[in-house]
Amino acid sequence: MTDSCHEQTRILYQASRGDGQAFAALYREHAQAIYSLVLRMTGQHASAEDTLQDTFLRAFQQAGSFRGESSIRHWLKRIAVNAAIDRMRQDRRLVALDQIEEQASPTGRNDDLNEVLGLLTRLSPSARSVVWLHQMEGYSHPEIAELFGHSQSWSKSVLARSLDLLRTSLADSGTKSDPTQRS
Amino acid sequence: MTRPNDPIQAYLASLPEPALPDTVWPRLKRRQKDRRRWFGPVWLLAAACAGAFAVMLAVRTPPTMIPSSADRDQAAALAPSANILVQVRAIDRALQIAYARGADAAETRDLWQIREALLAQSSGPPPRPTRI
Repeated sequence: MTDSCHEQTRILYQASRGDGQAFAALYREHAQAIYSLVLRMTGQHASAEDTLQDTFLRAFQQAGSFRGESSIRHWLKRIAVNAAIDRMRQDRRLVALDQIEEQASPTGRNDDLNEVLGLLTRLSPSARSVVWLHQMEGYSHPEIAELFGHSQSWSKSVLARSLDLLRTSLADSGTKSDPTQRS
Repeated sequence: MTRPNDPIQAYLASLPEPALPDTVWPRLKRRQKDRRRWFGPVWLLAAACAGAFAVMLAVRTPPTMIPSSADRDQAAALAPSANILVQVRAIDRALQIAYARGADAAETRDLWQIREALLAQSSGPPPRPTRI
Protein backbone atom coordinates (compact mmCIF):
# COMPACT_ATOMS: atom_id res chain seq x y z
CA MET A 1 0.00 0.00 0.00
CA THR A 2 1.20 3.52 -0.74
CA ASP A 3 1.41 6.19 1.97
CA SER A 4 -1.71 7.82 0.58
CA CYS A 5 -3.54 4.50 0.71
CA HIS A 6 -2.35 3.92 4.31
CA GLU A 7 -3.65 7.35 5.20
CA GLN A 8 -7.02 6.66 3.56
CA THR A 9 -7.28 3.32 5.36
CA ARG A 10 -6.54 5.01 8.68
CA ILE A 11 -9.22 7.61 7.96
CA LEU A 12 -11.71 4.85 7.07
CA TYR A 13 -11.14 3.02 10.37
CA GLN A 14 -11.35 6.26 12.35
CA ALA A 15 -14.59 7.20 10.60
CA SER A 16 -16.08 3.77 11.27
CA ARG A 17 -15.30 4.23 14.99
CA GLY A 18 -17.26 7.48 15.06
CA ASP A 19 -14.58 10.08 14.41
CA GLY A 20 -16.61 12.94 12.92
CA GLN A 21 -13.65 14.65 11.25
CA ALA A 22 -12.49 11.44 9.56
CA PHE A 23 -16.07 10.80 8.47
CA ALA A 24 -16.28 14.25 6.87
CA ALA A 25 -12.87 13.87 5.21
CA LEU A 26 -13.83 10.56 3.64
CA TYR A 27 -17.11 12.01 2.40
CA ARG A 28 -15.41 15.08 0.91
CA GLU A 29 -12.86 12.91 -0.88
CA HIS A 30 -15.19 10.35 -2.45
CA ALA A 31 -18.84 11.47 -2.36
CA GLN A 32 -18.75 13.25 -5.72
CA ALA A 33 -17.39 10.22 -7.60
CA ILE A 34 -19.84 7.86 -5.92
CA TYR A 35 -22.79 10.15 -6.56
CA SER A 36 -21.83 10.51 -10.20
CA LEU A 37 -21.67 6.72 -10.62
CA VAL A 38 -24.95 5.94 -8.88
CA LEU A 39 -26.82 8.75 -10.63
CA ARG A 40 -25.74 7.29 -13.98
CA MET A 41 -27.03 3.91 -12.86
CA THR A 42 -30.30 4.87 -11.17
CA GLY A 43 -31.15 7.85 -13.36
CA GLN A 44 -32.97 9.55 -10.48
CA HIS A 45 -31.69 12.17 -8.07
CA ALA A 46 -33.65 10.83 -5.08
CA SER A 47 -32.47 7.24 -5.60
CA ALA A 48 -28.91 8.38 -6.16
CA GLU A 49 -28.93 10.40 -2.93
CA ASP A 50 -30.31 7.46 -0.94
CA THR A 51 -27.77 5.13 -2.53
CA LEU A 52 -24.95 7.52 -1.67
CA GLN A 53 -26.05 7.45 1.97
CA ASP A 54 -26.36 3.67 1.94
CA THR A 55 -22.88 3.37 0.48
CA PHE A 56 -21.20 5.32 3.26
CA LEU A 57 -23.20 3.63 6.01
CA ARG A 58 -22.37 0.19 4.59
CA ALA A 59 -18.72 1.19 4.23
CA PHE A 60 -18.48 2.08 7.92
CA GLN A 61 -20.18 -1.18 8.88
CA GLN A 62 -17.81 -3.16 6.66
CA ALA A 63 -14.66 -1.12 7.35
CA GLY A 64 -13.03 -4.16 8.96
CA SER A 65 -13.30 -6.06 5.68
CA PHE A 66 -11.21 -3.50 3.78
CA ARG A 67 -7.83 -5.13 3.22
CA GLY A 68 -6.20 -2.48 1.07
CA GLU A 69 -6.01 -4.78 -1.97
CA SER A 70 -7.62 -2.00 -4.01
CA SER A 71 -8.00 1.72 -3.44
CA ILE A 72 -10.66 2.99 -1.08
CA ARG A 73 -12.33 4.71 -4.03
CA HIS A 74 -12.56 1.41 -5.88
CA TRP A 75 -13.82 -0.38 -2.74
CA LEU A 76 -16.47 2.31 -2.14
CA LYS A 77 -17.57 2.10 -5.77
CA ARG A 78 -18.08 -1.65 -5.43
CA ILE A 79 -20.28 -1.05 -2.40
CA ALA A 80 -22.12 1.71 -4.27
CA VAL A 81 -22.82 -0.49 -7.29
CA ASN A 82 -24.30 -3.18 -5.05
CA ALA A 83 -26.33 -0.59 -3.13
CA ALA A 84 -27.65 0.93 -6.38
CA ILE A 85 -28.76 -2.45 -7.71
CA ASP A 86 -30.39 -3.29 -4.36
CA ARG A 87 -32.25 0.01 -4.43
CA MET A 88 -33.42 -0.45 -8.02
CA ARG A 89 -34.67 -3.92 -7.05
CA GLN A 90 -36.53 -2.42 -4.07
CA ASP A 91 -38.09 0.20 -6.32
CA ARG A 92 -39.00 -2.59 -8.77
CA ARG A 93 -37.12 -0.87 -11.53
CA LEU A 94 -35.25 -4.00 -12.53
CA VAL A 95 -38.32 -6.05 -13.35
CA ALA A 96 -37.97 -6.12 -17.13
CA LEU A 97 -34.28 -6.89 -17.33
CA ASP A 98 -34.34 -7.74 -21.03
CA GLN A 99 -35.87 -4.44 -21.94
CA ILE A 100 -33.20 -1.95 -22.90
CA GLU A 101 -35.30 1.10 -23.76
CA GLU A 102 -36.58 3.43 -21.05
CA GLN A 103 -40.36 3.41 -20.70
CA ALA A 104 -40.66 6.61 -18.69
CA SER A 105 -40.85 9.71 -20.79
CA PRO A 106 -37.58 11.64 -20.86
CA THR A 107 -39.59 14.85 -20.88
CA GLY A 108 -40.46 14.14 -17.25
CA ARG A 109 -36.85 14.68 -16.24
CA ASN A 110 -35.35 18.01 -15.39
CA ASP A 111 -32.80 19.67 -17.65
CA ASP A 112 -29.94 19.09 -15.25
CA LEU A 113 -30.54 15.35 -15.26
CA ASN A 114 -30.95 15.23 -19.03
CA GLU A 115 -27.60 16.92 -19.41
CA VAL A 116 -25.83 14.58 -16.98
CA LEU A 117 -27.33 11.43 -18.46
CA GLY A 118 -27.38 12.52 -22.10
CA LEU A 119 -28.42 9.73 -24.42
CA LEU A 120 -28.41 7.32 -21.48
CA THR A 121 -31.92 8.62 -20.69
CA ARG A 122 -33.12 6.48 -23.59
CA LEU A 123 -31.97 3.30 -21.85
CA SER A 124 -33.75 1.35 -19.12
CA PRO A 125 -32.08 1.37 -15.65
CA SER A 126 -30.56 -2.10 -16.14
CA ALA A 127 -29.28 -1.35 -19.66
CA ARG A 128 -27.89 2.01 -18.54
CA SER A 129 -26.11 0.34 -15.62
CA VAL A 130 -24.64 -2.39 -17.82
CA VAL A 131 -23.35 0.18 -20.31
CA TRP A 132 -21.86 2.45 -17.68
CA LEU A 133 -20.28 -0.35 -15.64
CA HIS A 134 -18.76 -2.00 -18.70
CA GLN A 135 -17.68 1.04 -20.71
CA MET A 136 -16.67 3.44 -17.95
CA GLU A 137 -15.94 1.40 -14.83
CA GLY A 138 -14.23 -1.54 -16.51
CA TYR A 139 -16.51 -4.30 -15.23
CA SER A 140 -16.30 -7.61 -17.08
CA HIS A 141 -19.32 -9.56 -18.28
CA PRO A 142 -18.92 -12.23 -15.56
CA GLU A 143 -18.89 -9.48 -12.92
CA ILE A 144 -21.96 -7.76 -14.36
CA ALA A 145 -23.78 -11.09 -14.69
CA GLU A 146 -23.10 -11.86 -11.03
CA LEU A 147 -24.25 -8.43 -9.88
CA PHE A 148 -27.58 -8.74 -11.65
CA GLY A 149 -28.01 -12.45 -10.97
CA HIS A 150 -28.08 -13.26 -14.69
CA SER A 151 -25.96 -15.09 -17.24
CA GLN A 152 -22.98 -13.65 -19.07
CA SER A 153 -24.87 -14.01 -22.34
CA TRP A 154 -27.57 -11.76 -20.88
CA SER A 155 -24.93 -9.13 -20.04
CA LYS A 156 -23.37 -9.38 -23.53
CA SER A 157 -26.74 -9.19 -25.25
CA VAL A 158 -27.92 -6.16 -23.23
CA LEU A 159 -24.62 -4.36 -23.82
CA ALA A 160 -24.60 -5.04 -27.58
CA ARG A 161 -28.19 -3.91 -28.06
CA SER A 162 -27.72 -0.84 -25.86
CA LEU A 163 -24.57 0.21 -27.71
CA ASP A 164 -26.39 -0.17 -31.02
CA LEU A 165 -29.17 2.04 -29.75
CA LEU A 166 -26.69 4.64 -28.49
CA ARG A 167 -24.74 4.60 -31.78
CA THR A 168 -27.91 5.17 -33.75
CA SER A 169 -29.01 7.94 -31.38
CA LEU A 170 -25.59 9.53 -31.54
CA ALA A 171 -25.63 9.46 -35.33
CA ASP A 172 -29.16 10.89 -35.38
CA SER A 173 -28.29 13.71 -33.03
CA GLY A 174 -25.30 14.57 -35.27
CA THR A 175 -23.05 17.38 -34.18
CA LYS A 176 -25.41 18.34 -31.33
CA SER A 177 -24.19 15.33 -29.34
CA ASP A 178 -20.65 15.29 -30.68
CA PRO A 179 -18.35 15.64 -27.66
CA THR A 180 -15.85 17.62 -29.70
CA GLN A 181 -18.53 20.28 -30.28
CA ARG A 182 -19.28 20.71 -26.58
CA SER A 183 -18.23 23.97 -25.00
CA MET B 1 -14.02 -5.27 -25.12
CA THR B 2 -13.79 -1.51 -25.18
CA ARG B 3 -11.80 0.25 -27.88
CA PRO B 4 -9.96 3.41 -26.82
CA ASN B 5 -11.29 5.37 -29.79
CA ASP B 6 -14.83 4.12 -29.34
CA PRO B 7 -17.16 7.07 -30.03
CA ILE B 8 -19.64 5.82 -27.44
CA GLN B 9 -16.98 5.73 -24.76
CA ALA B 10 -15.76 9.18 -25.78
CA TYR B 11 -19.33 10.43 -25.62
CA LEU B 12 -19.93 8.92 -22.17
CA ALA B 13 -16.65 10.36 -20.88
CA SER B 14 -17.71 13.80 -22.10
CA LEU B 15 -20.94 13.83 -20.10
CA PRO B 16 -20.80 16.50 -17.36
CA GLU B 17 -20.37 15.56 -13.71
CA PRO B 18 -23.54 16.05 -11.65
CA ALA B 19 -23.44 18.52 -8.80
CA LEU B 20 -23.36 16.84 -5.40
CA PRO B 21 -26.52 17.90 -3.51
CA ASP B 22 -25.91 19.71 -0.21
CA THR B 23 -28.79 17.86 1.44
CA VAL B 24 -27.06 14.46 1.59
CA TRP B 25 -24.26 15.25 4.04
CA PRO B 26 -26.51 16.48 6.93
CA ARG B 27 -28.81 13.46 6.47
CA LEU B 28 -25.90 11.05 6.43
CA LYS B 29 -24.32 12.63 9.51
CA ARG B 30 -27.60 12.35 11.39
CA ARG B 31 -28.09 8.71 10.37
CA GLN B 32 -24.56 7.80 11.39
CA LYS B 33 -25.08 9.49 14.77
CA ASP B 34 -28.40 7.68 15.29
CA ARG B 35 -26.83 4.38 14.36
CA ARG B 36 -24.03 4.84 16.89
CA ARG B 37 -26.48 5.99 19.56
CA TRP B 38 -28.57 2.83 19.18
CA PHE B 39 -25.85 0.31 18.42
CA GLY B 40 -23.91 0.95 21.64
CA PRO B 41 -26.74 0.03 24.06
CA VAL B 42 -27.98 -2.80 21.80
CA TRP B 43 -24.54 -4.45 21.77
CA LEU B 44 -24.19 -3.98 25.52
CA LEU B 45 -27.62 -5.53 26.08
CA ALA B 46 -26.84 -8.46 23.77
CA ALA B 47 -23.53 -9.07 25.55
CA ALA B 48 -25.25 -8.90 28.95
CA CYS B 49 -27.94 -11.39 27.82
CA ALA B 50 -25.34 -13.79 26.45
CA GLY B 51 -23.37 -13.57 29.70
CA ALA B 52 -26.46 -14.18 31.84
CA PHE B 53 -27.44 -17.17 29.71
CA ALA B 54 -23.97 -18.67 30.03
CA VAL B 55 -24.04 -18.25 33.82
CA MET B 56 -27.53 -19.80 34.00
CA LEU B 57 -26.40 -22.82 31.99
CA ALA B 58 -23.33 -23.29 34.15
CA VAL B 59 -25.41 -23.16 37.36
CA ARG B 60 -28.14 -25.48 36.09
CA THR B 61 -25.89 -28.17 34.60
CA PRO B 62 -24.94 -30.72 37.30
CA PRO B 63 -21.19 -31.01 37.18
CA THR B 64 -21.34 -34.77 37.72
CA MET B 65 -23.27 -35.23 34.46
CA ILE B 66 -20.39 -33.85 32.44
CA PRO B 67 -17.97 -36.65 31.63
CA SER B 68 -14.51 -35.87 32.87
CA SER B 69 -11.52 -35.99 30.55
CA ALA B 70 -10.40 -39.09 32.43
CA ASP B 71 -13.72 -40.79 31.58
CA ARG B 72 -13.35 -39.85 27.93
CA ASP B 73 -9.78 -41.17 27.82
CA GLN B 74 -10.88 -44.36 29.48
CA ALA B 75 -13.71 -44.84 26.98
CA ALA B 76 -11.37 -44.29 24.06
CA ALA B 77 -8.90 -46.82 25.44
CA LEU B 78 -11.50 -49.54 25.94
CA ALA B 79 -12.13 -52.26 23.38
CA PRO B 80 -15.47 -51.95 21.52
CA SER B 81 -17.04 -54.72 23.64
CA ALA B 82 -16.00 -52.87 26.77
CA ASN B 83 -18.21 -49.87 25.85
CA ILE B 84 -20.76 -51.53 28.10
CA LEU B 85 -18.50 -50.76 31.05
CA VAL B 86 -18.60 -47.07 30.13
CA GLN B 87 -22.40 -47.23 30.11
CA VAL B 88 -22.31 -48.96 33.50
CA ARG B 89 -20.17 -46.14 34.88
CA ALA B 90 -22.73 -43.65 33.53
CA ILE B 91 -25.51 -45.57 35.30
CA ASP B 92 -23.40 -45.49 38.47
CA ARG B 93 -23.11 -41.74 38.22
CA ALA B 94 -26.87 -41.40 37.62
CA LEU B 95 -27.50 -43.58 40.68
CA GLN B 96 -25.13 -41.43 42.70
CA ILE B 97 -27.04 -38.30 41.71
CA ALA B 98 -30.38 -39.96 42.37
CA TYR B 99 -29.36 -41.01 45.89
CA ALA B 100 -27.86 -37.59 46.55
CA ARG B 101 -31.19 -35.90 45.89
CA GLY B 102 -33.13 -38.49 47.89
CA ALA B 103 -34.78 -40.41 45.04
CA ASP B 104 -37.21 -43.17 46.07
CA ALA B 105 -36.59 -46.88 45.63
CA ALA B 106 -38.82 -47.19 42.55
CA GLU B 107 -36.69 -44.70 40.67
CA THR B 108 -33.37 -46.27 41.57
CA ARG B 109 -34.75 -49.78 40.93
CA ASP B 110 -35.00 -49.06 37.18
CA LEU B 111 -31.43 -47.83 37.10
CA TRP B 112 -30.25 -50.93 38.97
CA GLN B 113 -32.12 -53.15 36.49
CA ILE B 114 -30.46 -51.44 33.51
CA ARG B 115 -27.11 -51.83 35.24
CA GLU B 116 -27.69 -55.56 35.80
CA ALA B 117 -28.77 -56.01 32.16
CA LEU B 118 -25.63 -54.25 30.91
CA LEU B 119 -23.43 -56.36 33.12
CA ALA B 120 -25.07 -59.50 31.83
CA GLN B 121 -23.96 -58.55 28.30
CA SER B 122 -20.41 -57.90 29.41
CA SER B 123 -17.97 -60.81 29.14
CA GLY B 124 -15.42 -59.36 31.58
CA PRO B 125 -15.54 -59.26 35.35
CA PRO B 126 -18.29 -56.99 36.73
CA PRO B 127 -17.03 -53.56 37.73
CA ARG B 128 -17.10 -52.65 41.34
CA PRO B 129 -20.19 -50.51 42.06
CA THR B 130 -19.34 -46.89 42.64
CA ARG B 131 -19.21 -46.08 46.32
CA ILE B 132 -22.16 -43.88 47.20
